[in-house]
Amino acid sequence: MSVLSVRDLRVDFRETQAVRGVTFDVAEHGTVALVGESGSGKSVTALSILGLLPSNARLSGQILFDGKDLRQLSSRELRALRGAGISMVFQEPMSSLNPVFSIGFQIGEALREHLAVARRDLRARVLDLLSEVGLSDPRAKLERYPFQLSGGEQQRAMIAMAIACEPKLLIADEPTSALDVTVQKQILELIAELQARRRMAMLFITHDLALVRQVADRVVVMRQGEIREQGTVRQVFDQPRDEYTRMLLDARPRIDAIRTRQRRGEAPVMLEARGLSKNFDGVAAVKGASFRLAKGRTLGLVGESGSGKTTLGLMVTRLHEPSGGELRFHGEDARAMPRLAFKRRVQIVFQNPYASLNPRFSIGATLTEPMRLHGIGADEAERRTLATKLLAKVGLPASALFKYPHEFSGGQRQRIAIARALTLEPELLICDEAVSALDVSIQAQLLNLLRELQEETGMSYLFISHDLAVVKSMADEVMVMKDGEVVEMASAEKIYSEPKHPYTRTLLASVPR
Amino acid sequence: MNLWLLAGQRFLHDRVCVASAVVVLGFIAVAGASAVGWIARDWSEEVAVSYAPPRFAGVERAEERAQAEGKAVAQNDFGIADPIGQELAEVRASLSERLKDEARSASLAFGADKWGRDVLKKAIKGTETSLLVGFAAAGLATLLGTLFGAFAGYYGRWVDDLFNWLYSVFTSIPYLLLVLAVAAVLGQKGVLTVVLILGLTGWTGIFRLVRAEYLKHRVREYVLAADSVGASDLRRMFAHILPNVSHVVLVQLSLHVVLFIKSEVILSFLGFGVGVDTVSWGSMLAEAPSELILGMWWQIAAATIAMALAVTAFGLFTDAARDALDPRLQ
Repeated sequence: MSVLSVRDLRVDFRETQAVRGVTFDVAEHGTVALVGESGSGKSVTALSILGLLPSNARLSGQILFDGKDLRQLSSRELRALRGAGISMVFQEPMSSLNPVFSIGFQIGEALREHLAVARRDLRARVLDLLSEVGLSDPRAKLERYPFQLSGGEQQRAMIAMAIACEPKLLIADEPTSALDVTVQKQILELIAELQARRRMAMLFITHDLALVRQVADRVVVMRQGEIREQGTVRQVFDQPRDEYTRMLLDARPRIDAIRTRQRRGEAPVMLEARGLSKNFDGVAAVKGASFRLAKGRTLGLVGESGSGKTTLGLMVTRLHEPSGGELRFHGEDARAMPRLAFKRRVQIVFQNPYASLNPRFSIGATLTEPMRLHGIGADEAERRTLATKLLAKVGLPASALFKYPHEFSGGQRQRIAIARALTLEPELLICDEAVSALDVSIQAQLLNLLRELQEETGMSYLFISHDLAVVKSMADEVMVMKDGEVVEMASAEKIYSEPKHPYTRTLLASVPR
Repeated sequence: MNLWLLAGQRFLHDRVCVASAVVVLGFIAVAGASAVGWIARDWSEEVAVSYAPPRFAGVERAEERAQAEGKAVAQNDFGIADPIGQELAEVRASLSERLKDEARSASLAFGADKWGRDVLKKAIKGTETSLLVGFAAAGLATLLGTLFGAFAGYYGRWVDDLFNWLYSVFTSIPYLLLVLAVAAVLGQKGVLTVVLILGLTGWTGIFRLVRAEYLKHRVREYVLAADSVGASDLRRMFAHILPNVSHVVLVQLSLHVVLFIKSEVILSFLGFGVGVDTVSWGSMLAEAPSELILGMWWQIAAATIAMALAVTAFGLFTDAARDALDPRLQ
């Protein structure tokens, strides 16, 4: 008996078909994972179940919940069902919670709305829920506002709200994607525990195949609005029948993969930091980081949000002036070098390709600007030729020169950002979460591109990422940061096989395998 | 495709936008033609009797008036035999004939003012003055607001404090008082004075918005990226950030044109506006109170209709431009 059956669901937005004939079932107490990359239609499918699609969407097909077609229900009946029958946990807890009401009030509201719980019992019920989702000191948390909680605590509060009315089906849309890996592990464990205790069915939506193995018993793989493959976790992971599924499984960098990229021998030190620190209005973001980076090598920098890894990266590029410490570049004091000359040798690629390219600049203008500023190329025509060559190097056609950033996908934009950094032929490239915002298949392509470029040019990389598996596939040496401090630094082999610091061990243990 | 082209496409898809744009362009064309002297060059010439009514209100009324004037003269009889009475009567008769002829021949489509000047031509000349004031003052205010806002928002710290202090000073004085004070300091009347008064006092709102945009954009990754390839502060401010906040600036510019056209009317009404040697919608309205008492409604009607049309069209145009340029829709 299945709780939810979706039959030949189709969703159109004007000309685009977001979902094209999707059929799957969620069994009672079972967990189905809906997996796909961005644009696969997985979130649209989830939203259409709850009737939460924007008004310009056209729906067809059947969505049966407990044998009732949800599309036949009136909006009042549907509202009653949301929360009580089906509830949802979203990706961004911060934007799904109302910032002007306390956590306790918001959870209480769900109870009052659906279960008509009396006002005097409300507080006790909310307290029970908060302790059930594992919030420490629930009595104090009751009065807190969303911004006073950490990301993990916010997500726990969201889950408390979702399970408040004992739904039969929980839809979790990327519930851990915005969270750090250690927190992600805790939340996943919590969800699994609650599901077992409350005997809920769950539809788990994610882009991360590694999570699927942990939480789900069935998998539905989607791509461009269609189901490519579905089956039990064992079937899909061990004997994928579909080509796309196989590609997804292979593209995923794995923490337990054997490092194929080992470079022996000494290389001269290019960059050395001694006690580099940065304060923002008295708050220490980086507390004395010391490290060395050799020529042509990659130093991985791993840490969770707020660890100070981005600030450290920005200090190395001299986009932030350090508050203290020393930065030496080829033995010279980097802070005493002329800014422009230094920038020519050290370049950076940012995380978000949607934000790091100026939307009003054509790609040609974006690529020729650094050359013009540094006097590379005799005239505009020569710079354009150079830009075209660089575009070819990162795998883009020359016609891209005349287009604008919004005409490219995320992966293509990141290639453009890399090309911009390469215009100055830097000796050191800082990759600040450069592939984190991208789908796994695109991620794999870009990691390959970065490796090829390093082989070709002998650049050094400072590779900053929260993703331990990605760092493992890239780095020669790895540095782990926590709360502004470098807690451990060792060669990549060592840090993954015999981590010394307890935090490194926790991090490694949290990575989904 | 360029984002400006995309915005243009969106703009052209909306009928209200296009209609309002056509009206706005019409006004600009009229003002331009008047400025180069193709039309309404002779606006200040006396071409009709005083207060000649508009033609559609009827030539008869003009004749009546002329006759009434003739009669009034004829009745001026003290009962003494006048040796030249015969001649005088003839002269009067011919005069009143001439008046009648003149009134008929020169009765104007939109009537005349106290001095017999064509109201239509005055309205056209007024359009030129009002639009000139509106655009020049809005240009000046936007320039100041954008520059100040860019520096304050981008540099922060003491630069920000300085401009915020200036902003507070300007906004803490009641607007009209400030305007009158600047007018008193500048002393002479004229179009340039009005532009300066409005421009120098009107930048505050734009400053606040542009400053907020710069605060937001200066930490964006594309600005950091520009920094990392070596772009100077000024280049980041004006080559990188400005095009990305230009939608705010353009909408404010358009909004302030409307605002300043209305402000000019108020200033002229209060007597601080353009001088007597020129005409604006405001000075036309300023003449209206004494006329209205006598039932001469056409001058105020002409100025009001012209202004209402221009302001409405501009307002719609601004709204449409805001929608078309909104980066969230891109």
